[in-house]
Amino acid sequence: MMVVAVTLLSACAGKQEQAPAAPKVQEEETETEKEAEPAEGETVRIGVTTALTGPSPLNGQRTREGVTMAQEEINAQGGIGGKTLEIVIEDDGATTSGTMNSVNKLLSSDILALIGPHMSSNVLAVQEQLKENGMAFLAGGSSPGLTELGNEFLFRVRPSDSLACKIAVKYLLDEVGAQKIGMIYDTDNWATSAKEVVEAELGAKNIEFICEGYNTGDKDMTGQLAKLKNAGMDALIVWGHDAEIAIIAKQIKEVGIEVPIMGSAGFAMSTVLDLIDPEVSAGILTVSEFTPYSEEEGIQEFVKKYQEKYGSDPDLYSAAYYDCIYLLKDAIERAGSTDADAIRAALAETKDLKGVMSTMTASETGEMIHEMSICEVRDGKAYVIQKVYEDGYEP
Amino acid sequence: MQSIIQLIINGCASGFIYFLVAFEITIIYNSSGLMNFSHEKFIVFGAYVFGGLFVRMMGFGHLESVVFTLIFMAVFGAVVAIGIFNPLKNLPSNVFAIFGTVLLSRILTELTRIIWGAAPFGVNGFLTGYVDLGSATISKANLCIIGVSLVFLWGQNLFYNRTRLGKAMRCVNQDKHAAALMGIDVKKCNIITVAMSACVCAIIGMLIIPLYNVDLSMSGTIATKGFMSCVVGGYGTIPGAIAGGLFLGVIENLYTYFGPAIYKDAVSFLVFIGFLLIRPNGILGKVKITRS
Repeated sequence: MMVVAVTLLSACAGKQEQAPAAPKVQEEETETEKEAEPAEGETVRIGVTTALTGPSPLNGQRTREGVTMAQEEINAQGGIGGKTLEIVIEDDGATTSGTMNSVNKLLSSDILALIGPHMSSNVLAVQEQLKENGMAFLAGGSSPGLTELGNEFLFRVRPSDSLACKIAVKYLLDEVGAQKIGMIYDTDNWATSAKEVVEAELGAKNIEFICEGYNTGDKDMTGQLAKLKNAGMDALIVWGHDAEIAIIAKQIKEVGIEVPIMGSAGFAMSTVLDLIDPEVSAGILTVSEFTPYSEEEGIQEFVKKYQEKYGSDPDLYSAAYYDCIYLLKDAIERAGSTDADAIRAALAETKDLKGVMSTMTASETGEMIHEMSICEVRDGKAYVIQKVYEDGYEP
Repeated sequence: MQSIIQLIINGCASGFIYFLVAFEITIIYNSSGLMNFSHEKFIVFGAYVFGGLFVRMMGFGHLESVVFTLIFMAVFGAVVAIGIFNPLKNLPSNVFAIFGTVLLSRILTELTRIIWGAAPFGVNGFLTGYVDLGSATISKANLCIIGVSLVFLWGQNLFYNRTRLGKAMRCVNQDKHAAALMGIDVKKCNIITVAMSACVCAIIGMLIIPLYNVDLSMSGTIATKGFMSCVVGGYGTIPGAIAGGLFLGVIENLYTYFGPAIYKDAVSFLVFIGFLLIRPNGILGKVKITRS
């Protein structure tokens, strides 16, 4: 009797141990091997670390949709150099510790290159380790300092904030003809460094500059705006996070500021524009690398494909990481081997590769993007009015 | 000059919002001797019920939604009074009831997040637009705040001085035992007070939507400043709430004309500490401070 009971118990225990593992295997299968495989057996593996959970799961979802779409297209056309493209996606929850775990896991799963992390702080946490492992990675963090780290394995697939600020200033000076520029900015590290770039740019050109800061989470910025207004400026730069810039846009009207407004990339995103009355947001200018409401043919085609497949508009996450897959395809094919170092060298030689977001060329510091769009908001949507290029990268 | 007028008008608008917050704190304190620590979340909840439930989910017009929100919040307030305030108030220490309200605020926050999600949203077309007064541009939302608050002041004055129920509630504020001996139902008065307070919270929540959007953290600063207004004006009195609210609102807005605006909140807090040290009874205060 006792013996029977014990065997029964252990049988149960065995089952319980197995149970949670089963769905995980399935998940990996659905994520890695999706579509038709051209050449059985031989594969090229690329790792992606992104935030599928945490405070911004939508960003991770859009990233996954973007890379999966590119993967399916490439495999349908015969893969990379005749090999099937496989993508391994790991969740980093947008946190530093989560990113370290996901990168460790990816490093041990035979990948040729890594896409991500998206946030600058997380890039800083893993860049040394990726360098030691000789793993080329396409990072999304836009903090200007990243490419000054001297890490030759780091390639950035989004424009640096210093580029965005320079373009914003250039447009205000050349096209708007501003003589005295005001700026309201978040006092956190990200927006303060943007302010420093603007200040240096204007200082070099001897243009008057006035600025006022606010703290993340503030609700009433009318005091700062009134001061800027009284100082008499003929253009205003707004640099901040989503919730605050939506409020600032309303308060600009309230204070009665009527000069042209140039905002950070948030103003090109529906998450911000949905918070503002279309009447209030009309006419706001912004610098952004991607908006689905562009008349460019390549973008229109991409948006249409994306809508058919996922039923929603793509955002910059979809576009940037969709381009990443093609960037790696190009590099791996040129390298002609699956040697990690050869792939890194090939990435560093990327030149004039046409993507959805922009034409990519690797700079000495690993910057891939050298153009951005000036957008204007109309009817609550950001439309491209002008493409601006970094000096030396004009087509 | 132009901007000083604008700052004073906007300061009055913030001041009246602080007054409304101070009012809902005061009436609950007077009727039950408790601090409602979940009042901040009542404000957020009211805004979500209006913007999220009635306008977005059910598609009612703005005016209907305002009426429905007030009814909804009155019922909600009564339920809170019956479920938390009245039973917990009779326990040996006030701490139980106060903790009840702290926990209620957590529950409300998470409930709001589960139902409507964490992303902020706006209510389009609600009190938007600006009025040009020649020397200043004022948002309709701020004018509306001032208007609603003035009507509210007049209404509450009428209610407390002219109606039977209002007089009964003032009796309860003065002496609960004597009021009970006079045949006033103290429990019922408490329930009505909490329901009224919840309605005031909903009014605050709706009034600040055009300024701050509907957001889980929309009421953080104003709830704190509302409490400070109570103290600065004179804790536990309605004239004190008005004086404190307007004083703080105008001072902090005028300050931005002279100093860096980023320290605006710090200025209010300094004024608050100054009052605690120098004049703890507040501007109009007659409350006896007892030291033990």
